[in-house]
Formats: sequence, structure tokens, C-alpha cells
Amino acid sequence: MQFTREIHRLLLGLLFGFILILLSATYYAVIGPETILQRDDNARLFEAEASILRGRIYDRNGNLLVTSVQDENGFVSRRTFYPETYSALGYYSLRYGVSGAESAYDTLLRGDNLPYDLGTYFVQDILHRPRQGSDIRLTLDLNVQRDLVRLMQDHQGAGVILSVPDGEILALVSLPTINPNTLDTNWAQLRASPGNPFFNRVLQGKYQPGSLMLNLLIAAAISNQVPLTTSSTNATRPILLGDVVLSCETPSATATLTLQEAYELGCPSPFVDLVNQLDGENIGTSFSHFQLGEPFLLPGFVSPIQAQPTVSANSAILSTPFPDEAITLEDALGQGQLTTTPLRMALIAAGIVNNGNAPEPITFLASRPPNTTEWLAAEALHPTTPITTIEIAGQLQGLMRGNMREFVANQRVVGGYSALAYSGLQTQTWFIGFMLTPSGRGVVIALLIENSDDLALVQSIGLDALESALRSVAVTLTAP
Amino acid sequence: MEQRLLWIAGAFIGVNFLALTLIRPAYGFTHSLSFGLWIACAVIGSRILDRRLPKRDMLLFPLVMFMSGWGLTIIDRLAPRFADRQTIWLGVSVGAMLLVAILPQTIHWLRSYRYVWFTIGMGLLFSTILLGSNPTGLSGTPQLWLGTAGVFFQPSEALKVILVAFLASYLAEQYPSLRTQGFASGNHLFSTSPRIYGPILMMWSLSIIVLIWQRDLGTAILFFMVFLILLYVATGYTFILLSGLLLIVIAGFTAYNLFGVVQLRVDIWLNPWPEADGRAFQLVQSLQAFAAGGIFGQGIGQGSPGYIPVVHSDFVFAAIAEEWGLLGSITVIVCIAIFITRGLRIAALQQGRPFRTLLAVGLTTLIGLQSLMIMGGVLRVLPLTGVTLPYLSYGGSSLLMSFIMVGLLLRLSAQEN
Repeated sequence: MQFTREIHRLLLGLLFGFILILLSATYYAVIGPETILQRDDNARLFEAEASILRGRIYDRNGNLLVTSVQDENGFVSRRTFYPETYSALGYYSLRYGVSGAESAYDTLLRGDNLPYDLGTYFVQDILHRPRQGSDIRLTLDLNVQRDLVRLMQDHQGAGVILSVPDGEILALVSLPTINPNTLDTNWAQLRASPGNPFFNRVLQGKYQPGSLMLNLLIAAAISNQVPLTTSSTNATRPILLGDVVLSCETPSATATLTLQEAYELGCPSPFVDLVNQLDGENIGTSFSHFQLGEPFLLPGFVSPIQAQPTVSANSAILSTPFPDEAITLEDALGQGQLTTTPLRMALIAAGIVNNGNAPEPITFLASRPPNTTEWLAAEALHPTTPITTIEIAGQLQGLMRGNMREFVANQRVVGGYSALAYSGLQTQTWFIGFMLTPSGRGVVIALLIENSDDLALVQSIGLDALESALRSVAVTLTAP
Repeated sequence: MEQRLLWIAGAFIGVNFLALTLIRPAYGFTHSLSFGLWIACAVIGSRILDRRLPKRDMLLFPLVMFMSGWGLTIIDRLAPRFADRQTIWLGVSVGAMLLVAILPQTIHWLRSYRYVWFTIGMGLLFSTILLGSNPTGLSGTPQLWLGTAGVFFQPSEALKVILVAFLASYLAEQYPSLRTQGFASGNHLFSTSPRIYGPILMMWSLSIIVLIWQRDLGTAILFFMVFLILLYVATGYTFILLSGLLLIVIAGFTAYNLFGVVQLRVDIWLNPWPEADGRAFQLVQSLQAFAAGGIFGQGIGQGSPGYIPVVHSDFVFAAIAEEWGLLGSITVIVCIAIFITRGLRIAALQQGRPFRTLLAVGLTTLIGLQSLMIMGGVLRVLPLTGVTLPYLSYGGSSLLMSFIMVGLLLRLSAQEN
């Protein structure tokens, strides 16, 4: 028949073309998911991420702090019920990433740690139901957090409250703060905000310790068998360190003070004599145990934003652990190259209270897989790091209690120390303190207020916050 | 057999419409109108064909109804505002198909009045130069349509059928001379008389020029390929195919250097990844759609083919791949392959009637090549061209002419049987 051969060849040619199409389609369907689907420009990744039902976040008492809300189009957004918790919880944004606890426990909240079994495959890949993450319960106490924010609300600074001896973080506040519910809409405005609200002053802020160093100098004196009753004449003389003048006010005109008295009044001069008396290396060795210059990094509590610190939090100065070499007078008085973070100071305070052993801060209590009712508690390990001896810790605790003797009430043990530090032309005030039940368990605080020289204010805020914290956790602290 | 196949097609389409309704409850049962019309077209079409063409090919009608119904669900899913329009076009197209199929003189008219048809086709095509518009209303886009009162028609679609009929009729008369004389006869190379090749080359060139003028390069390539293949089938000379391919390469090279749109399409075909966010966005999204679909697909309404610009038209194959997976892609390929096989079988069985054979070859080749071009384009096997996937893509003119082609094939198959 005419044309038959040509028709057959045409058919074969067209079928060959379709086979090529089939092979190409197979390649992209089978190999493609491992390659091109992982590209950043794949909007489906964004959709998949946007459809994940992140787990809820609860505080230690079961208060719901953050949840995921799904609209009718399946788009999931994050809702924070208490914006005051931002400093601790961070934010979650499809566009701008995660920070804080949202970042630290991202794997749990996204459900990445859940097993991928046949049931999961059927629900997620066949029925295309959104992935659900696990709920988490943190050590944070909503009431303590809110109280601390309320007490600090007119100021810029940082505050952190831990329970002792567990090291559980009850409150973590950095001001100014933001409302994470409006983060996406106000992003540009917030980034340009002069207060740097994205900068977490508790975790990232590196500040001059100022006269907080007197606590460490006391520890150095004790460890070098220098009695605290050692007198120093002309003890109230001002000390000039570069452009900074350190001085103190005494209730009487006397110029002779013991170390203990100088500590209580915050007079630097006797401590200058102490530094001159002690070998610089001995002081450095004593200081190094406190790990003052090493910022404690809460695992996972990162921010995708490289926010610039304020002038007060001068992280441009590299903070270095104490070397084995002799320290300078400036460092010893807290006005040198050495900086510290509020969290590190809180750990030092906790170590003083806990017989010289600083607890490792804990933020996580338990998780709950989706569609279950049982909480899976985290292992209660509570590791500690020795920062000083029992004897030194006990004496420091006694000194701090002596500072707060007029505030003792209701069978609580209260101690604390207020300090002033200079950063260029600005000053900040510190307060570290503790409040314990008769059983020895309690709470500690490290508080810093930028651009302030009001020691009474920082002390008042610190004590009120401790009072609130102890009241809030009193029930759980009764049992040893 | 045709009834069973239509039942299967109806079940598939019905389930998809139902799934779409469940996923988009706000739309209610508006899909039922489209599905209802599809059922009506299938039932009425089958009944009429049974009565008037009982000895027709039994696979073609269910195949095209299956693909067009699937296309309706996709368009309803991707571009609901176009679904009603496509549904109406389906009704019109099935009606036109039936008309063409049942009228006994259709094939005769196509052959006898080939110059009239060609003049009409060229006239319509020329008119787009002056009166052309684009349904989107955007300036700077190819003005390839003639339209009024919201109804648009693309003359180049009609010209496909007209040109095939013209070429088939002309080659049916001249092929004995072409086969005996050939390009090399005795000691004479290219001894074929221009009297034989001249008119068809002229007619073909004219249409190509107009198409290029209108920047409808995909259709121009399609016309050229169909011309080549018909010439090959008529003459039996493989040399024609080879030289034609060479001409395509030369033309492509020239077009690459002359036309920015050609340069764009070749560049993104060669390496789309550096410009995934820019010029190659559509192609990259298409490939990601294939990957996202995997083997079993995301399910109707569950994927994200909407990221592909104009997905309801040129890139509907990618949408199928994402929501029905590789299985869906294979189904489409198999359906078109079966269509091609049946069409060429019809051609082969037209014993002693070269016009009918060449007409069937031409129509089948049109569908096959057009499908290959667009599927190859969305899969980066070939550079993208602006042609649609027959029966599945949105496009009233394309759907109408595709069904008319089926009507002609059914007519041919019935007469042969």
C-alpha cells in the first residue's frame, strides 16, 4: 500500500518523541524532589513551612503563651498571647526567621523530631494534612515575667530571674521589647527603632560590671587569707581611672574603713589597696573561676538579626576570660576591658547562694507530641559548675544578706548588692540578689538598668521582682 | 466499547469535580454545570455518531472527550473564571465535530475548494494585522485574535486545518510526479519542475511570513514541520526531512540573532537556573511542579501550580504533573500516543485514496507535533513555544479546531470501514 512505510516511520518517530517526554517527566518526578525542590526559589517550600502547625508554648504553670492559628486558606500564623514574654520566647516569622525559645526548640515545635512512619506518610503525603509540631512547656513563669516587665517598664535594660538550686529561668526581660504579633507589619519600623528592641540585653548585652567586682575582690581576699577586717586609711578617697572617677558616700566623716565596710558602702579605695597588696596573678586566678567574662550562651537562643548593641552594652570591647597573667586595676574595679552579661551575673549570684556551685540555666521542662495528652518531662539533670569554694560563697552570701538586713521579713532570707558602672559618658546600675525560703531554695536575680545612676531604684525593682518570683513559685519550692 | 470508555472517562471527571467541590465549598456545585454539559456532549455525541457513523473508529471520541473533560476540571481548578467559557466552547466544539463528521461531503469540499478555503484562511490571518486583538487586552502582546462582544477566535488555528487540507489535496495530485522525478533523477539533480513545487512553496511561505509577522513563532514552526512531514510522506524521500531539519537549525540560528523573544527562549532552555527569578521563572516553576507532583501527585486542588504564570493555557501539562503526578503525566502521554496511533492507522487504511491518507496524516501529525512541542517545552526538552496542549489547555479556538480535526478523522475512519 502506498505511503505505508512512511506512515510507519512517522509513527515510530512520534512515539520516540513521546518516550523522550516520558523519560524527562520521570526524571523530574523521581529525581527532582531531591534537587530542584530544595532550591530557595521554590515557593512550595514556603507554603510547606507556612502550613506547619507549630506546637504551642506553655509556661511552667500551664498558661498558654503562644499558639498557631490557621485561617480558611490553610495559612498558619503565630499568635503570642502575652507580648511581655517576647524577650524569652522570641518570635516566629516565615519571612524573618525565628529567635529565642522559638528558635531553641524549633525542631520540637515543627515536629521534625517526630517519627516518620506509615501513618505519618498517609496523613501528610497522601491526605496532605498539615504537619503538627509538639507542644512545649518552659520554665518561664508568666506572672513573674509580667511583674518584672511591669517593674522595669519605664527603663531600658535587662533582668533575669532563676530558681535555685535548679537553675530554672523564671523570667527573662530585655527592654525595650516588641509585640511579636505585629512583627511582620512593623518590621522596618522596629529595625530602625533607636532602642534596638531585637537586641537581647540579657543574653547578648555585654556591660561593664563596675562595682559588682567588689564581690569578686572580696572572694579574692578571702582566698588569699586577707581578713575582711583589714583596715584601710583614706578609704573614701576617689579613684581616677582614665576619665572615670570612682568614689563613694559614707554616713560619717571617717576615712578609715575595713574591707567589709568598704564593700557595703561601695568604696573603691580599699580595694585598690587590696589589688596592690595581692599578686595580680592570684587575683586573676581567683576571678577566672567565676567565668565572669564568658557570656553564657543559652543553646539555640539565637536571633537571625545581627542587631547592634547600645552604647551601654559595649560589645565592641572584646570580653576575654581572665588570662593567667596579672589583671589591670581597671579590670579589677570593673571599668576595664572586662565585660559581662546579666545572665552570667545571675549565675554567679546563684552560685554564691548554692554553696559555690553555679547551676546551668534551664528553660525547658517538658514536651507533648501532637494529639496526645501526656507530657514527656525533660531529664532533670541540673548540672552545676563550681565557681568558688563553700567558704567563700558562704561569706559572700553573708555579706549580701548584711546589705539587705532591713528587708528581711516573713522568714525569708534576702541578700543583694547594688552597683554602679560607667560606660563612656553613660552609667548603668546593677542589682544582683536572692530571696530564699528557710529550706534554702529560692530565687536569684540579676538586673541592669541602662542610663541610670539610681542605686535605690535598681535595688527596689530587684527586691520587688524577687518578692513576686518567690511568691509565685513558693508552692513548688516547699519540697526539697 | 465506546460506551464503556465514556463511562470510565465520566467517572474520572466526575470524581475530580466532586473532589474540587469538597476542597472549595465556597464554590458550591457550580462545577456541576460544566460536568453536566460534558455528560450531555458525550451522550449526544455518542448517540449521533452511532446513528450516522456506526463504523467509525471507536477510540477517538472517548479519548478526546476524556482529555477535554479533564481539561475542564483543570481549568476550573486553576482559573475558575475561564471555566464557563471553556465549557461553552466544548459544547460548540462537539457540535462542530458532529457536523463535520456526519456531513457526507465534508472531505470532498475540503479537497475541491482548497483555494477558497486557503484564501479564507489567509484572509482571516491577514485581518489580524489590522483588526487583531488580544483577549487579555494588554498592549505589547501578540494580537492574534479576532474578537467582538467578548468572543475571540484565533485564525491561525483554523489555518492549521486549512493548510493541511490544502497540502494534502495538492500533494495527492502531484505525488506521482514527485516520486518518479524526485530530487535526483538520472543525472539531473533537482530536476523537479518548479511548476510542481512552486505553488505549495508559495502558499506555505505566505503563511509563514504572516505568522512570523504576527510573532506566532510556535505555529510557524508547527506549519513548517507539518509541511515537511507531508512532503516526506508524499515523496518518500528521507532527504526532505534531513534538509528540513537543517533549515530549522539555520532558521533558528538566524532567528536567535534577530528576534529577542527567540533568544530569550533559547537562553532559558539551555540554562534556566541563573534566571529562575526572572526570565526563566515560568520554566523553572514548571519543572518544580513536576518535582512537587512526584509519582502520585499532590491531588486536585492540593498542589501549587498557580505559581506558574498562564498555567491554565500553555503549562497545563505541568499542572497535571503536580496534581496527578507522574501517573497523570503518563496518562496524558499515553492518550495522545493512542490518538496518534489511531489517526495514522486511519491514514494507512485509506487505500488508493491519497488525499484522504495525507489528510489523516496531516491532521494526526498536527496534534502529535503540537503536543510534543508544548510538552517538550514545559519539560525543557525543547525551547518553549507558544502552542497549547490539544484538548487540555484553555483556549476556545484550539479546542474547536481540535474537535473539527477529530470529526474529519472520524469521517475518514467511517468511510474506510
